[in-house]
Amino acid sequence: MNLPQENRDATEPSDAELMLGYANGEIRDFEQLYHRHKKALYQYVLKKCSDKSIADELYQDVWARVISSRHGYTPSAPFRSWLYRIARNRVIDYYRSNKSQSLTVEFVDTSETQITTIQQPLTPDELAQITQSTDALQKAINTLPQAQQDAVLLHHVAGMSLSEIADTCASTRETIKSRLRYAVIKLREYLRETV
Amino acid sequence: MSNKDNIRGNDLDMENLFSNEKQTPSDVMDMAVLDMAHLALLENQKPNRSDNVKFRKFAPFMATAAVILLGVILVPTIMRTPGANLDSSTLETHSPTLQPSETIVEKSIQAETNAEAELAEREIMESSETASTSSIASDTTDTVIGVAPLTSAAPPKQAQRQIVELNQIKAEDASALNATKSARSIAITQLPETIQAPAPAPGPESGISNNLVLKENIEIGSRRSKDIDNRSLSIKNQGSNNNNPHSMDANGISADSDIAVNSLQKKQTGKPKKTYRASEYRWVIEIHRLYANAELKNALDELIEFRKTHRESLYENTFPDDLLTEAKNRSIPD
Repeated sequence: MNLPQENRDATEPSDAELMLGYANGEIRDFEQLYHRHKKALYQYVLKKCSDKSIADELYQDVWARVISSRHGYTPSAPFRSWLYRIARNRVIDYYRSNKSQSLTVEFVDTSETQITTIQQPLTPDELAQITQSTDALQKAINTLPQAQQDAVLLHHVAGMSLSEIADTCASTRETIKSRLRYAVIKLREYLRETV
Repeated sequence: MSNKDNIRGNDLDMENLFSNEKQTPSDVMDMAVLDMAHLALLENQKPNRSDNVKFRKFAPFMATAAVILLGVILVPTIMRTPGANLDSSTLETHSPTLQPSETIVEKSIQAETNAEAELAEREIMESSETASTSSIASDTTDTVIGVAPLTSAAPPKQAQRQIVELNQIKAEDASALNATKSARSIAITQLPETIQAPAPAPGPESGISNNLVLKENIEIGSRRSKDIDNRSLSIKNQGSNNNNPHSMDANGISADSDIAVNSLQKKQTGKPKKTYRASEYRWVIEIHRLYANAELKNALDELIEFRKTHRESLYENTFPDDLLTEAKNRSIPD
């Protein structure tokens, strides 16, 4: 999992500085930026697509857009929010143009009472069983609505805060918090049923 | 504790679950993305849009300047290029039907007949002042044989055209083709060796008096000479009735009318004016005329002088082989 921005060494250049350095022709700045975000971004795209070949294609496409938009980047916006907004829009555009492939199965929203009853976290035994199954988590994510998927993935994979997620998804912080809470509950329910 | 920390504290199971995911982009994908980034920087080093705009703005001026510069460099070079640079083979291509050796033979035969005709015409000229006046006019207007005068700096195309005209004149002489080539050759080889200097007074008598054999051949062609006499007389009469020398047909302005002009010049000035030597082309014409009039000694003298003055002349190929060979032999120092 990618380290949150605030946990990095203060002497390391920020994402914005690296991006500006690359825009000015420093390839090493881009290399550093890429290695900093590649794993989290790849998992985000992979979890969103649930198809590795498509994820590989979209992942490279996201970076291509970052490269081509380097002169348009302004440090006023956090780089990570800018990067994942590009990735999220790219995935949405892909599935919009390929309507034959459904992105996820829409999850039927549960009632408030049901949520309160299943708020208990997964036990270590349950987690051990889930991790033995390679695609259990992916199947559980696929059952989430798109907005909840983004909230879960951006928070737990990309390590973004609620505010960054809100900025990326063009929403409010409270909305993201609610989406994230519902998403986690649904994942637990699905995973418990699986194991 | 912040709201965010509360969420994380409550979702530790989710944290552990997602942290177990170890899928990363392959090395190939990493290389592809980094190469993309590097290529983008390289493309960025190419002339950008503003440079292109500047180039487009100044391109017409640069092109104009280049053309002017080329003109300044090339025009003097072109102007200095003499017509002599033309290959003789190039000239031959402009008259592909010309057969030099044959026409030379024809020319020599015509010379024999013209020589006799010139003797006969002298009497005619004395009684025909009006005809001579017309002929002088034609001479002073540089229409001796129906072509424009050629300056020494004539361009190659004009030189080619004039040579073609010269060849046409040769072709006309083919009508008198009846005599033998041997007679002409003997006449040339029997010329005295002491004619290195130009003859002071070239005329029909000098060429004939030095060639007894040629006189014999003239007797052979006496019948044709009578016809030529009649033709010469008719031309002179036509000249007396017509003040416009250009009204003559190009074929009509033959060696006959030339003979009349030169004869009259000799009569009026006592000796011929060698003004033709000022023009390479006119000099060539004069040599051909002398040769055609059987003034072989004078033709040889003129050709020797011509070759001294104009070395490697383009017109050298137009001279009869026997005359040219003899001139070359005489020119070789002992």
